[in-house]
Amino acid sequence: MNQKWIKRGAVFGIGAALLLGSGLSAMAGTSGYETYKTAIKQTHAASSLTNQGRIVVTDNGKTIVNAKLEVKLNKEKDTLSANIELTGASGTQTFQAYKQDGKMVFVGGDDTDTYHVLPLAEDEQRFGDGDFDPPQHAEQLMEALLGNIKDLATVQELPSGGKQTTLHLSGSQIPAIVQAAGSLAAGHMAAADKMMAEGGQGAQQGHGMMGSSSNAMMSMHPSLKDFDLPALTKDVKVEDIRLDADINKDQLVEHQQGQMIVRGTDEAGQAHEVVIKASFDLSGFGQTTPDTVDLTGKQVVTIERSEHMPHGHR
Amino acid sequence: METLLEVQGVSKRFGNGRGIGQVSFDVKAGDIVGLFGQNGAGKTTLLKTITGLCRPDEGRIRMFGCDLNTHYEQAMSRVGCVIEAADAYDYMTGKRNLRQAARYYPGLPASRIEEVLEMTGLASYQNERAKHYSLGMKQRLALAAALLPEPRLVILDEPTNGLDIEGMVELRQTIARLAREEGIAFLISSHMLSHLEPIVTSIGILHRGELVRFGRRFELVPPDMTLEDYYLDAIQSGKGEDLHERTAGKLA
Amino acid sequence: MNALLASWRNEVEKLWLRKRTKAVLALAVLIPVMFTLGIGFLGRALGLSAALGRQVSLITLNVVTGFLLPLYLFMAAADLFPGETSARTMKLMLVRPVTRAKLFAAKVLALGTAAAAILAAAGIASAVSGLLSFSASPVHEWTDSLIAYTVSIVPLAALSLIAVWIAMFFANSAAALGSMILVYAAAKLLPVMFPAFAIWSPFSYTDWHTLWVGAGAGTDKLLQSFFILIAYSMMAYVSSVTRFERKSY
Repeated sequence: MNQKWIKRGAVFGIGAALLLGSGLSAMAGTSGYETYKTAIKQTHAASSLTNQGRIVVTDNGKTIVNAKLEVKLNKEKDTLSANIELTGASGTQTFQAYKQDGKMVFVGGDDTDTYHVLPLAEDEQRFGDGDFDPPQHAEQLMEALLGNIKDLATVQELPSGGKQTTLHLSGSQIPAIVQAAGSLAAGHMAAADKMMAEGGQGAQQGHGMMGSSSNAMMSMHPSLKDFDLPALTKDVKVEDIRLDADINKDQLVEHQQGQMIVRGTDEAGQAHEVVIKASFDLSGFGQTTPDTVDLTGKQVVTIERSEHMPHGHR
Repeated sequence: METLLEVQGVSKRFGNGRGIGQVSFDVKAGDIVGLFGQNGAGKTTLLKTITGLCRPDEGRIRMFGCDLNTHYEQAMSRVGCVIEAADAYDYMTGKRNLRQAARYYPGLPASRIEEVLEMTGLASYQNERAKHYSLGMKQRLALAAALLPEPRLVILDEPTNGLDIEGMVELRQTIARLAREEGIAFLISSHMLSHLEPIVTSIGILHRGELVRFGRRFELVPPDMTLEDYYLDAIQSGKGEDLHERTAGKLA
Repeated sequence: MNALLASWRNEVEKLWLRKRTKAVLALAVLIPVMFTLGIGFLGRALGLSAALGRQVSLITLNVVTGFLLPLYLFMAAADLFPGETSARTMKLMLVRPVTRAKLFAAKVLALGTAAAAILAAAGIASAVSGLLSFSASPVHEWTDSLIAYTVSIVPLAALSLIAVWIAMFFANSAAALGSMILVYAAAKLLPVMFPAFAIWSPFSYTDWHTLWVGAGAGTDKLLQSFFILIAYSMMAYVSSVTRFERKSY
C-alpha cells in the first residue's frame, strides 16, 4: 500500500520536474522565430538605413525577371529615396521615388522626363513609430494561427557573434493557405507581376516602405507586364519555401533572403520550375541620408487625390 | 459453517455527521441475513462500504478470507450485489448488460447468461433495451447480474422497493430456493421487516449508524415475541440516546 | 490482466454503442472526402488541385486534431466518468472483481483507442480520396502523412488525460463538458494575448504533427514539446486515478 503511494508520488514528481525543466528550457531556448522577430523590430527602430535588394525570377534556369532596388530611408528627417531597376523581356526600365518636403515624387518608366508629385497629407508626412511594425494584436494573432509552424525556424550562432535564422518549408509542411496563394499567383499571368512586387515584401515581412512605394509605382506604370512568365495551368504547386536572415551582433538584420520554388505545367505540356528569389542587404543604420531630387525646371505633374485612392503609407 | 464475510469495527462518517460507527458482524455460508433499520440508519452506507463503493475510515472487511483493501479482485470474485437501486446501461439490451458483466469472470460458462435470464424470467426481453424495462424488470435484470458470477454471497440493498405483492413473493421464493439449493448466502437490507421476515435466518438491526443487534434469529428473538416487537425493543434500548426522539411511528 | 482487458473491452463497447461515436467516425471520413471534392472543384476553376490535393491529408488532420477530436474526447471523458456517476452505472463495474486503478486505466485506454480509431479513419479516408482523385504522391509524402497521423496520438492522449482530470471534479457530465470546452477555448485564446503561455499550455500542441513532417523541427524542440506533453499526462494520470480511488459512489 505504502509502495503504491510512493510510486504515485514519484510519477507526479517526475512529471512536475519534467514539465518545469522542458518548459523553462523551451522558454529560454533560442527560437529562430523569436530571434528574427526581435531583430526585425530592432532594425525597424533604426533612425535611418539603406536597403539594397535584388529580386530574380527564373524559369527552368532562365532569368525572366531581374529587379534591383535601393531604398534609403531616414525617419528623423522624414525623407526617403528609392531607385528601382527592372529587367524583363522588354528590356530594362528604371524608376525613382523620393519623399521630400512633404511630398512623394515618382519618376521613371516609359516617360523618364515627367516627375509625378503626390502631396502628402499632414499625417502621412511623418514616419510614425508604428508605421512599419504590425500592430501588437495582429502579430499575436498571427503567431497563434501559425501555431507550431514557427517552431520550425532554426537559429545558428555565427563566429562573428551574429546569428543566422532559417525557416525552411517543403512539401506538405507548407501551410495550405500559402500553398493556395502561391499557386494561384504563379498560375495566373495577370497576377504574376503583382506577386513579384509582393514577393519582395513577403520575403522581408514588415518592410512596408518598399512594398508600398513600388505598388504606387506599379499603379502609375501599367506597362510593366512584359515579363516572360510561363502560364502555368496544370499541377501548379509550391514545392519549397526558404527564408534566411543574417543578424549582426547588434541585433540588426544585415541580410535576408527568401526563395520560393513553384513547379507546374503550361498549356503546351511543358514542365516549368519557377524560382523566385529575393535578397536584401541592409546597411547604413543611423547613417543614411536619402537622395533628393531638385524639381526646378523639370516637367512636373501633380497627382490629384481622389477618394478611393489608397493612402500611400498605410 | 464457513465464514464468507467478516466485518470488523468498520466506521465511515460523512461530513454531515451521518454514517456508520464500529460495525462488526459475520455472514456464514447458507445464511440469509436481514439487515433492518429505518431510512437513514446507515444500511446503504454499510453495504457500500462492504462492497468497496465507499472506503471505510477504519476497520476491515474480509470476504472469503481476502482483505477488501489489498485483494479486492479475489475478494469480489464470488460476490454479486445490487446496491442502492437497480441500475443498468439503459442504452444497452438486457443481454448486453449481462455480457458486459460476464467479461470480468473468465471461467464463466457461456451458457450462464442464458441461465440467469431464465432464472429471473427475463429471457423473452433480453434483446430489448433496458430503457424500455419497467422497474420490476430492471430489478430482475440487476438480480440476474448479481447472480451471474455463480456467487457464494449476494448482497442486496432494499430489493423489494417498488415491487408489487406478486413480485415480492416471487423474489422471496427465489432467494429461499437459491439459499437452499445452491447454498448461496444473502445479505439483504430493508426498511420493512415484513418484506423479508418469512425467509431470514439471521438479523441485524442498524440504528443511527450502529449495529445494535446481530445474530441468528432463533437465538435472538424469544419465541413469545414477534420480530416487530423485538425490533422496537432493540432500537429503544439502543445505546444511551434520548428516548423521546425514538417513536415507533418512524418504522413505517 | 484479465480484469483490465475486460474493462477495456467494456469501455470501448460503451463508446461504440453511443451514436456520437459513429457520427464522429462518419465525419472523420467525410471531412477528407469533402475537402477532396471541394479542392477538385476549386482546382478545375483555379488550377489549384495539384497544390492543395496533397494537402488534403494534413488539412484533415488539422481539423480533426484541432476541433473534432478534442470535442469528441471531451464528450467521451465526461460520459465515462461523471456521466456514469450520475447515471449510477459506475457502481455496476466497481462491484465487479476489478480494482479501481485498472478500471481507470481501462477508461483512459478506451479514450485513446477511440482517438486512434478516429485518426485512422480520417487518415485512411484522406489517403483513399487522394489516390482516387489526384496524381500519385511521392513516397515521402505518404510517410509524412503516416508520421503526422501517428504522432498526433501523443498530444491527444495528453488532452484526454486533462479532460479526465477536469471530469473528476464533477458529478454531472454536462457541467464537466462545459468546463472542458471553456478551459480548451481559454487555452487556445490566451496565447494570443500572452505568447509565452503557449509553451506551457498542453492544448497548444494539438498541431504537434507540424513539427514532424518534412525536414521537421530540431531534436531539441521535439524533445522539449514531447516531454511537456508527457509531463502533463503523467501528472494528470496520477492525480486523477488517486481522486478516482478515493471517491465514494
